[in-house]
Amino acid sequence: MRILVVNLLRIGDIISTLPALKKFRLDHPTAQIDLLINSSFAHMVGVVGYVDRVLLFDRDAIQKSLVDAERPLFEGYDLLKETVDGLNEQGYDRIVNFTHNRLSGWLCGLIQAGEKHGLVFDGTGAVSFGDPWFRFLNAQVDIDSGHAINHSDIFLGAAAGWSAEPNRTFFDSLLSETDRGRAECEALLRSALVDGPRLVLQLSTSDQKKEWGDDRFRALVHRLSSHFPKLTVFVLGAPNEVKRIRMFCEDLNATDSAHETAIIPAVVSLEGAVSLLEESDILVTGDTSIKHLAAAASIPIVELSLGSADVFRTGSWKAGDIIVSSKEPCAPCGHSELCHRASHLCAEGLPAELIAELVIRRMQSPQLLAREHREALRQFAKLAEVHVVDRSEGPAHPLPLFAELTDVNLASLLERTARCISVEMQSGRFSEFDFGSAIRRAAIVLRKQFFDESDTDLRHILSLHERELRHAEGLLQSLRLQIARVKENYQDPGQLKDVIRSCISTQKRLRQSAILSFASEALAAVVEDDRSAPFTRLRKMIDAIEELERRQMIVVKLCRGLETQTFDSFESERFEGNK
Amino acid sequence: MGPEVQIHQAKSGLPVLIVRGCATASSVDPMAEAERWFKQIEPQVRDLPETARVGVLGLGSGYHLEVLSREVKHQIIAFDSDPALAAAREWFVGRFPSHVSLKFVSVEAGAASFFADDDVRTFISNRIVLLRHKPSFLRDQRGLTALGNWLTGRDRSSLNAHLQSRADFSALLDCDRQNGEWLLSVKDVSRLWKVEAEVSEQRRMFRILEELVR
Repeated sequence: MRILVVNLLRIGDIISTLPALKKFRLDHPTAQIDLLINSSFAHMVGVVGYVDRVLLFDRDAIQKSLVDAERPLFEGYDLLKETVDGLNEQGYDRIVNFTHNRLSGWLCGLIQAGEKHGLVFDGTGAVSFGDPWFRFLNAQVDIDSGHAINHSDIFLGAAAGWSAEPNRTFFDSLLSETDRGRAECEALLRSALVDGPRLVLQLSTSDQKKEWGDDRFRALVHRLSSHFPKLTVFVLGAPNEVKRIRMFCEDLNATDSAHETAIIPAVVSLEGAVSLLEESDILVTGDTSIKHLAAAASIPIVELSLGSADVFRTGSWKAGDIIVSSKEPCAPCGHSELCHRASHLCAEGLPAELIAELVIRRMQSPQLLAREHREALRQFAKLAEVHVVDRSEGPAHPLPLFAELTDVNLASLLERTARCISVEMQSGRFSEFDFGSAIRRAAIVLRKQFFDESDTDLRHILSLHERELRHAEGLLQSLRLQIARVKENYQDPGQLKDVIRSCISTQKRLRQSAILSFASEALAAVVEDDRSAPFTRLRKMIDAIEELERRQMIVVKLCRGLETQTFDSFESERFEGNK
Repeated sequence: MGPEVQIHQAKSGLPVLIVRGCATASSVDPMAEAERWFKQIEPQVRDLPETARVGVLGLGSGYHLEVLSREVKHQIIAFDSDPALAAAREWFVGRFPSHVSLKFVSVEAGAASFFADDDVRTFISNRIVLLRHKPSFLRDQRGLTALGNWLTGRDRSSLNAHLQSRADFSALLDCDRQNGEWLLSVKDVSRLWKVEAEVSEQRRMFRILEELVR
């Protein structure tokens, strides 16, 4: 079998597909697996395993040819044709497009293969997804961030599904080390203090809005130096960041002579960064490609999720990792928007004291969700959101450290689980028999999330939740029946208008309940669509209601199943983390 | 040689052509200058497919062509529009291997005669890589610029010639044709990247190119 995996995005996005690549390799040990990436990321070839070849798409050359008046007119086309012809000569059996943008969709449409998964445009421009997880990824753009599934888990879902019991060692060390990387790392380690902890800092990000600020990083190092004797701090960066890193290290050395701390500039290649991360004890970083590398490595992460960084979609996905974000109402902001605040409030809202405390506690123990840590960190609850990544259910779930047992928090937790199960059902990988395992895993997460609540309180709120859902069930059923009656006469604008009015009314009633307001999102998209033809609009309504009913059914089953669980029996399975 | 052309010796000992008082290559070490030029353009010519052709604008004193033909085994066609160099063509005879050919072109004769040449038509109907020999280019800007525009298809008269040589593109354009000529300007080139999606493979390729120029 010959498989082509396409990922024409950036380093972090490529790393996010590593779990899926590993799964492909495990399921098809003798297959030829090729990975197509942009040529500007050719330097990643050494660290990506599980594939036989990394092929390069020369996007820069084609783009340059198109816009440069001195280049032959049809050169860009000819370059692209060579690429497509070359790929078609390989005779792929399957293509998987993890890029999910229009360019890749058109490109994958041109490459011949028996099966195609991911966004693909055919010759008429019609789109196909090939797997419900890719359709979910497409729809996720409209989903509230708190219910979103991490992209790496969507890709793994498309590769293998989430119905089976997750293998805890599957995510260990997904990256490959190279001789060059090890050599660079060893050169740095010679300057490290012996028998002391090793901290890695990534100061810069690709977007100013995501930066925490060098002053705050310096304050963090001061605090950690006084706590950890013989601390070594590696300040990581690319060659174009040399000046900044050197200044940072010099300032630190000049102002902190009281402690035995080694501050070492670590300007290394990507391969060197991989090896250094594997040899170090903890990383503090913003939303960067280094963060994604570390998520695929074994090093624990404290991620500073600022600006447009999204905790749920693209945050770290390794169990035990910590993601800290601001409580500012504007966070996360849009990618291409400038910050409109008077100062960088989301960064200012994360004090060095909090980050230092998180680093110290995470280095002491991977069980940050344990009672003693939560109590000690509660003083920061008003300042920042702290999430700890948990994988008890399979997909990464950033659990809020300070969440209380409320209707909304419980609904949010169950909604995420229901969305995953709904996609699995559509893919045919989840049956009635799988509910037992799903309920058991949800119970573990429930106990981790609301560790302080008694079994009685948990069961009580679950039963109240079930009652609310029954109410919503009735509303949706009425709406579905009304649409069924209209189906034959969808061209009649009057009847269609009545259905829209009913949707709006249902939406309003669902919004009145804190735990049912999630369901109103799906109806909003349909109500606000005034561009689609009547038949298409009706079809979208039917699909939305089918999805809502499926999710309602799943949540009701989860609630019923959870009500029968004894939560304390999961004490021994509570906590996990890598190091 | 012609009255406008003389031969001087560079400091390295190699001969250099002087045209109307201007040196066509380095008067210090023309071979080293040619090697440096090749290093600059090397990314454009490495890993070319067999059918690709390499065009060079400007003959200079020929050293850059010597280096290029040593490193690249594809068909190379070198163009120059300076009549003084055309008169000195014996300077270049026998210096290059068989896969290099020279074309002396008069821009005064116009694009039509340029595109009537069989070699030129074959050249532009295949994948071409166009390189510039800087010193010559600077010296005779008008003529070589015109040649460059014709070869890249970036002026109106050459655009039609290119379309006539590339049936795959001309088939995509739904625009007026009069007397065998498309009524297009260079600005219309942008339309090529915005062709509406149809069944054909070429149109899907153009959708990709459109995404890249967004």
